[in-house]
Amino acid sequence: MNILIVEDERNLADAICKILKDEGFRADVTYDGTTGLSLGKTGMYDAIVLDVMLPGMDGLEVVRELRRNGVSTPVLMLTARTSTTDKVNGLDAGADDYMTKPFETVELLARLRALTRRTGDVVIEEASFGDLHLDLTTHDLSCADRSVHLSGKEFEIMKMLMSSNARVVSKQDLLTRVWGAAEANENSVEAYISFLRKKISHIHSKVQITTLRMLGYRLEVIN
Amino acid sequence: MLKSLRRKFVAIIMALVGIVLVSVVGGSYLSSRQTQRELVNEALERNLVGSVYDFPRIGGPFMDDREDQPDHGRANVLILAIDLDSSGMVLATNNAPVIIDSTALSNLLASILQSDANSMWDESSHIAWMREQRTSGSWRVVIADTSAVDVSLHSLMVKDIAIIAAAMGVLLVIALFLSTWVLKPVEAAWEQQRQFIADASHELKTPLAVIIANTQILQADKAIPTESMRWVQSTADESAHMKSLVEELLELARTDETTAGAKDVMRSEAVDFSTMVENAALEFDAIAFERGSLIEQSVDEGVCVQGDPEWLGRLCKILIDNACKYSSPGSPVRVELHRENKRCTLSVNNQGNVIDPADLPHVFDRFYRTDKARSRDAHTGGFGLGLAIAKGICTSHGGNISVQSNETEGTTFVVTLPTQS
Repeated sequence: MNILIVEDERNLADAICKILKDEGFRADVTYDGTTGLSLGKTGMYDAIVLDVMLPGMDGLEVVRELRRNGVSTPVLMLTARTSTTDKVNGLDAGADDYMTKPFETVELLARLRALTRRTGDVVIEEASFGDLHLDLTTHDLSCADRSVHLSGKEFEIMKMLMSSNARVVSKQDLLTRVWGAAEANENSVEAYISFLRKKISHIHSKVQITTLRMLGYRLEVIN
Repeated sequence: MLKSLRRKFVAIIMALVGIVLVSVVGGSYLSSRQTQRELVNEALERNLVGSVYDFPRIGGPFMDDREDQPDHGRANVLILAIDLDSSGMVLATNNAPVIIDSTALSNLLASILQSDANSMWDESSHIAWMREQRTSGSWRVVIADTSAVDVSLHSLMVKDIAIIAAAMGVLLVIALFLSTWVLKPVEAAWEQQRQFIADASHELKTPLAVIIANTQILQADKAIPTESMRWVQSTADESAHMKSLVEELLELARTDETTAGAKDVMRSEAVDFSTMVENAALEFDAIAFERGSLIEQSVDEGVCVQGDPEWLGRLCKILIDNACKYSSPGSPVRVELHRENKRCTLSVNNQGNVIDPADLPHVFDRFYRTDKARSRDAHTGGFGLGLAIAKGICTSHGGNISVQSNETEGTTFVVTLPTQS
């Protein structure tokens, strides 16, 4: 995987480059827009990380010029500006994604992976059961047009229930997989199951979590 | 903020000049009233003594027949003088050329003799009178017509009021004009400060991104000994704190911009506020649970608000997060949304950690922390900007926010926002 980094802040460019290399990407760095554009035009990159504010030629122009030359390499824009109009300008110019500084490297890597996925690659980004959909990257649980964000543990529990696909998941399994053996407490499991039930009914789903005494929990679609 | 400053400025000018104007014009009215009445009273008193009655002249200065000298301090006034015996029978008059109905005159004389006072100015019937009892028991009564004085005083008052009203109107225009002129530098300084905060935050973002990226590289570096890793970790923690601080500062600058009247900063669309509040409350279930409390919600369905969904969501989260942070373990956090006429009320209540009454007016101030000793500790986190942002969001949505805190009911933050029908 070959990534081009166009960023005039040398320290930041070098740090991103190092992180990408540590993660097994190959990465090239350039510090100005004009060079960035000519390197981008070669088409030898799988993705471009592009700063908006650049000396010579700004990031928006670089993207526009690339797209005009038929280069469809995915572009991830980096900017210090946060307002929605800036975001829209970037996406309108032809960028594929947009991140504001300062950012978490984990998020940068996740977004780059998402951008560089080839069409046809089998990617599981979503789990579903009945009318429920669970987005595995954003942790949003949705049903039709209503959605709700799940906290870390709620998400783990929901994912386990969904992947077991209507089979029973025991309380013990949930405890060891979600909490780890150290802080095991059955009351916590019950509390989190009740939070999930509230959220499922909030988004008007027909799915419900059924308790099976002494056995555990499973998902069911009710009519 | 500037709008209220301008309003105060105009109000102060109007009040100050208004007080001066009313006292000057009112004082001049009262003094002219006193002068005019004194002229009539002086003529009445003159006729109360002796046996000589004056008849007023027409034109020229007043001539006192007894002194045979012109007197510029007195006025020619027609006086009807009547002598009566103790039973009220008319003994003599000065035959002043006046027209008065005989019954009206006898009623008047009767009421004068029954009166407790020795003189009276009756504006309603335009009559002033004085009386004096002689040693023989007989009465001298003198009566003057006061319509000229009363009418001129009345018309003076009407004119004075009209002058005050016109002057205040002109003054309002001048004060409004002056206020824009005077507040221009204040507005510029305010805008400069806001711009500075926004620019400084933007400038801090890139170096911060480098620090965060570098610490992440170091954290993944196996060659760093464990004891040194502690310092890398604390750098990572502090830069994460700084990241949220910079983001909050920017948010605050944006709400200030909207409050100052900028239009393009905030989106304005119909927002299903009920669902938004429920969503926010549901998101905090797990967080509250880990801190040993539960969230109870009571939300009216279908409350719709005009505004920016991102900001309104942020408002709900700031308030619920704050309540979770300060709630005492085992007590519930109550989130309620109720519709009231054309407004809705969102209240978030938690028990424990009562805010000192002295601190209450300051909780929405930037960086204000009620518990100074515990500022920025690991458990409560935050930098004291959350509530300032919440207030900014409320103001820019045409609503307001208030707080109550006491031992029995705990701490409640109440937001009122205009709703959409």
